[in-house]
Amino acid sequence: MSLAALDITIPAVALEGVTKTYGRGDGAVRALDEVSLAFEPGTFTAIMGPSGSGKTTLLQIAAGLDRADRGTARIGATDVTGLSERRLAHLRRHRIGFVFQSFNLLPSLTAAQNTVLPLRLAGEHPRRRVARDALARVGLADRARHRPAQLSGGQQQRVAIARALVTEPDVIFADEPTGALDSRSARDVLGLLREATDRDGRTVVMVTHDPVSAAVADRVVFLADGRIVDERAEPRAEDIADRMTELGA
Amino acid sequence: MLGLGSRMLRTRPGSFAGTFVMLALTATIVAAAAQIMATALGAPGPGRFAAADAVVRAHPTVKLGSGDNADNVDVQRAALLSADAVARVAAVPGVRSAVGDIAFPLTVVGRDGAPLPTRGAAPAHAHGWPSAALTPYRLAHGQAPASAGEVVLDAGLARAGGFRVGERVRVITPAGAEVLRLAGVASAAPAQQERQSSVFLTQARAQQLSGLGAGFNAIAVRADARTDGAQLRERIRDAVGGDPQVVDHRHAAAADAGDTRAFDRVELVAVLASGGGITLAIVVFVVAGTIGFAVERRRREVALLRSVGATPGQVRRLLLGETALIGLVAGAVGCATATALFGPFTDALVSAGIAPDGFKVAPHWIPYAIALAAGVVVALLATVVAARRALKVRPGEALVESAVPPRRMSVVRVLLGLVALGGGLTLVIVLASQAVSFAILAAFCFMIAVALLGPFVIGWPAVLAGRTLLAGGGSGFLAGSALQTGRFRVGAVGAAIALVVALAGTQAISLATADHATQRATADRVQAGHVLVARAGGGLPPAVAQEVAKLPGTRAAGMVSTDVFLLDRHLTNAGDSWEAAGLDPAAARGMLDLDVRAGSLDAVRGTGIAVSDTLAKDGAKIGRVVHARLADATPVRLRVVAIYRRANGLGDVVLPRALALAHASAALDSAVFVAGPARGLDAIVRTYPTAVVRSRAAYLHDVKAQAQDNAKAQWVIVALMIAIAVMAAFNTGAMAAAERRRELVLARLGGATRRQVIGSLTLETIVTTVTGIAAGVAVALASLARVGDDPAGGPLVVPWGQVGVVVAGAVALGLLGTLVPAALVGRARLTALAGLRE
Repeated sequence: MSLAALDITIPAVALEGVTKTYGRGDGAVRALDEVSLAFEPGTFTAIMGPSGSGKTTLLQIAAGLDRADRGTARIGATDVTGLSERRLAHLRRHRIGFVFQSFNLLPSLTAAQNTVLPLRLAGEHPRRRVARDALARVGLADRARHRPAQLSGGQQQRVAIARALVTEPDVIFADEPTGALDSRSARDVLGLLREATDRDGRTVVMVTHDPVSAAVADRVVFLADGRIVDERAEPRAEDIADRMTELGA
Repeated sequence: MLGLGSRMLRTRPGSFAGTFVMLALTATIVAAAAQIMATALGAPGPGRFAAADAVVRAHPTVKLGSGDNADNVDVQRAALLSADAVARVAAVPGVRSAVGDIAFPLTVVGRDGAPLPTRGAAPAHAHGWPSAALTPYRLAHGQAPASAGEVVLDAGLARAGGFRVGERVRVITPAGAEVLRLAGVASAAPAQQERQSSVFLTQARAQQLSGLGAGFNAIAVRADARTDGAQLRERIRDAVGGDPQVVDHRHAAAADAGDTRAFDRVELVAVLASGGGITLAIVVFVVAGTIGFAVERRRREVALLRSVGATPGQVRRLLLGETALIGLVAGAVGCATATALFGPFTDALVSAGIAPDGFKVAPHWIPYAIALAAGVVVALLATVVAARRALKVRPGEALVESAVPPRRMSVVRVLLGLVALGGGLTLVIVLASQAVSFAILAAFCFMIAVALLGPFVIGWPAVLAGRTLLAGGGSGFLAGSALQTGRFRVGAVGAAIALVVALAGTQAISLATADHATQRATADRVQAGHVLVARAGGGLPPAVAQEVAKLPGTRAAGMVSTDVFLLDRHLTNAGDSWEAAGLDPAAARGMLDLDVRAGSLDAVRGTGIAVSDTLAKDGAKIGRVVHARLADATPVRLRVVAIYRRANGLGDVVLPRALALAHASAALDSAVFVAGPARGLDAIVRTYPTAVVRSRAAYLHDVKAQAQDNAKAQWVIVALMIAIAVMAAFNTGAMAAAERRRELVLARLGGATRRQVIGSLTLETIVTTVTGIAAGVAVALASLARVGDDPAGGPLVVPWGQVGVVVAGAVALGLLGTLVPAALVGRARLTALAGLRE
């Protein structure tokens, strides 16, 4: 009980003074500039901002996919900035789930095989029902044997979510998960992410530039030129759209 | 992970096609070369000595150099053994019978006065009748030769000449023309009769007509049953004395003085080892590039795997597992292909004179295993390097679609490129005196440098050309921008084309230069009005020169083409013999002008020799006594008495003719130079129908034709390298097209017409091809920069016709290799491709 109480005080994901620069000399671009940000467990946060504002960089550094030049990134109590590639891989397998805009699935594997890939990489041999249950949850129980090329874009994203959930991770990072989808598929995908927070208590961090998508989140963080410029709780789509227009997006 | 890898291979075979093809090619080359070499290195079989248990010959091995660097070279025909030696061998316990064997070339003249055709791409050989039992040959008609005037022909010759027992038969022997009575016809197993045509005389008459004097080329032994072979051979060795060579039944053909096949196998191994080595190096290089490209294309896949928790080790194992699988399957396909290609390939080697007549590959499992292992090992090494690079990229970077990392030359790559460049320069400068021989190797070194430094040496010129294109039209703009951003791609494609041009160009130019130098030196040297040569290669009996000299007002000089081993340090010709000519300088005066620089040719007699200025530079000064071995491995001390310049086409050593004749592999003149009226020559040719009279001009023309014939042999191996380079060019072109696929689709979606896309590709290809050709030409010229310092070379001669063909071929290759794959993209449905993710 006391441990659980303690857990609440530790953010699921935390960035402190993260700075990242791409390139050198005149061509250098500062993608993130002293960004500090925390994500509480069981919350759904949307990160918004114009193109080039550093959204994706922030997500990738938080997830240990990229390294910060300065500052630290934590997943729970683990500092990912100093981890070896091997330890990072283990972290991703067990505590992190990813959903990208596209190319989420290995084309040579079926939906079911893609879904349990993180478990397979961990050396487990999951029972068939693990994949079936995970796919059933995203409404694709009947597509288990299909390959990505035989699935629609929305279905592919749902398989990606099934894969992100299969390891029961602490955090799910989603980078423009609806960017390539029609509005109905987008709604399905957002609903699944929302459900991961509400039902399972997962922390979701989602990069998006779509105000309607962002409105699903508990909180929206606005980035511009590598800095946090604003934050809204319980946002409405219209407010978000207005704020984005102000930011010049 | 292997399961995952094999699933990727099964579902997406296309993306592995390039790797597969190049690996299968590697295995094909390794398997074919290794099988041929294994067969050539294996026992040559008993040959004519099928009924013998062991064969003895005088020590045939010449040791050149000392210590670990020593080269042991066997001569084709060893010195003679005495009749005493035969008697001593016969007395060895366990020896049932010992036969002194003689073998020398002999021509049977048909009724129409023309030489009879023979079997096995060689002249007929004569032996003493006791040798007939060694095969065995058995009398089909008539009797064994009982007197000096009698002869037995094999069934093939008797049939070809339509001779019956009792008829007169004219023969040309090293000792002169003879008329003999056909005592009988003998036949052997069909394989032997096809192998070489045989003629039998009495033992004494055979010795006399061999032109080499009393003695035997070999002693063939039949053993008592239940005698241990190895012990028997040891006893025989002791009985003969003087360190003879004793070979068992399986190696007996090596001791046949009349059969060069076993000897030629050694040459074949040397040629394949050097040619195959370079070819393999090219292939390894291309395989590495192909695998690197294939891994690079899967950057996003690797990133995705890592984002879902694959460790770098897992990714590496996945890539290695895949490659090992491809390597194994490709290796098996390569071995099968090699097996199918043995026939045509050995035929080509035989017809070019590299492999001995009748050479057949006897496949063994070890070369196949080597080929399989070679394919897998090469593939794995290339993958280790490629995986290292792929894993250096952080998954975050790889996943961002726009962030294709700007490619940079790694320090290691630049350093290796500079090392290769240094190697090429060293070869050209240090080995300038052997520039012709080392031209291809130098070109190869330079090409490694060009390939490694391609983004600089080919990429930058293409960027400059691209800049000028930017201004012109839609196609020009597209092409120009592609050239500016694709230095690595352009460098790779250009280097592949440059490789073809450099290899073919270097070969064509160096051969033409060497030929031209030989022809010029020969033209300067040969002043004789007429030359008698053998009609079908081989040589002329020394008697021909004597008879010509007897004609009123006519002088004649026979020349023996042979070789000699010089054993002294710096004079060993890198483990090979020196070409030598046996001449009587007094007779040759006014007919051969060797351009003597020091000493006098008149002193070339006894053991006095003349040497070329090349040898003189290496230390063979006038008055120096050198340790040498003659062509039959007989040790001899020779004294340098003259130094001459015009060695090209003659040889670097001039031996006294008598010495050369006594130790040559056959006591024959390769040419008889004639000064004075040619009237009587026709009569001599009627007596010796193997001879033919050539005017000086016709003789010089023959020399040229002969050079072109020899060039054919050199082209066989280089053609193999060029074929590989062509495959490499196609492969690189296809990879480049695959890399640009998305870009081209985007250009079309952006409103470019198909014509503009094709136009832009054509422009880009032309720039790439022209740059590649220029690089190839530069490499060829650099490799041959010092050819003037090679005594076998001279001023650079460019065979414009051949070079034109090479350049045209390179243009076609460049256009086809890039445009065909690209055209396939152009035809595909845009909608399908636009959805293409990677």
